[in-house]
Amino acid sequence: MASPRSAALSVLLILCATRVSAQTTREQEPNDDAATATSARMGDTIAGTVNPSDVDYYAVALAAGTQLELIAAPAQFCRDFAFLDPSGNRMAFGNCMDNIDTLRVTIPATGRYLIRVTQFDDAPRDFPLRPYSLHIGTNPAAIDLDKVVKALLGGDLAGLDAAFVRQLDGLGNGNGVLDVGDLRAYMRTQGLLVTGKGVTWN
Amino acid sequence: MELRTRLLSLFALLGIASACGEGATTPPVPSSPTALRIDLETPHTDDGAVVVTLRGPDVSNLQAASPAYLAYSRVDSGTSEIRLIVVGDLKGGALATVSIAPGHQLSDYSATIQQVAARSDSLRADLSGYHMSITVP
Repeated sequence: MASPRSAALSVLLILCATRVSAQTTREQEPNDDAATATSARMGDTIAGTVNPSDVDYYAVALAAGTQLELIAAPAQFCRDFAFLDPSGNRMAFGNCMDNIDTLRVTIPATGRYLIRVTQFDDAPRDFPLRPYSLHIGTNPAAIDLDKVVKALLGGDLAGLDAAFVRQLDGLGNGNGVLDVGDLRAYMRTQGLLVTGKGVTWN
Repeated sequence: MELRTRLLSLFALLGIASACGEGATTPPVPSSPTALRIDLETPHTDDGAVVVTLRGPDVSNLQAASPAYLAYSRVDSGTSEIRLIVVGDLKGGALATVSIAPGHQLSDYSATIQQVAARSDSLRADLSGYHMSITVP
């Protein structure tokens, strides 16, 4: 039987391994289309430079059901991030990432997804390369949020554990019923309610 | 110079002829809307979340009206009903927009409010004073 100390060490090693696996993935030009996309992994931060005559693609393998979060680093220029399914259909889009810092997508099927980066706001003859970065992450709390939203929209609590419903209600207004006030409370406590900053959700 | 004058006269006559033609005498056919805006009228200044039911045919592509709002929706095509949740520091006015298929009129659509929570997360027991309206943006 493992001692508490060795158990703690194991947890620490797992955490370290998790941290090591995440990395900054710099673009590898040419990555101007889906075929030449720079490969990235869940947990990576992608980084590169872009100007209006450039487009950058990144490919990331994702499993069905993943609650994906793409979190953009602040930037002083207008850059667009698009998230595309394996067929190239756009699933989420941040136009200039104006008032938005996060794109959220629920992955419908396992496959190779694409992130496309563009920018258009410089003058035609002034094409400085501007740096950007975007974190590819996931938020486990978003999975529960998805269930709560579906329950409220469909009136179906089947996907929710009764104890979790009680917990949500206690977190919210404690009126004995799961309602939109409980949803708001859950979002706030999990950092999913970001007022003043937009989040797009597919 | 003379040729230019003649050409100008010809174009002017053609313009008058087309203005007097069928297009000028037939009243314009009102085009059916392809998008709708859903507005919230509220007696409070601290609304934090709402649940709204929108009824009407061929509704899709729901978008929050503000980047500071989070919107979720579920379409029940069997009943032509969309259930919509919008969360944020809500203000009266535009709440969301939706696309609709051509061929429908504004009067085909209605919206009713189901739940409202304050920013303190409490559920409002009294929804009097709340009103939903639908307009063509």
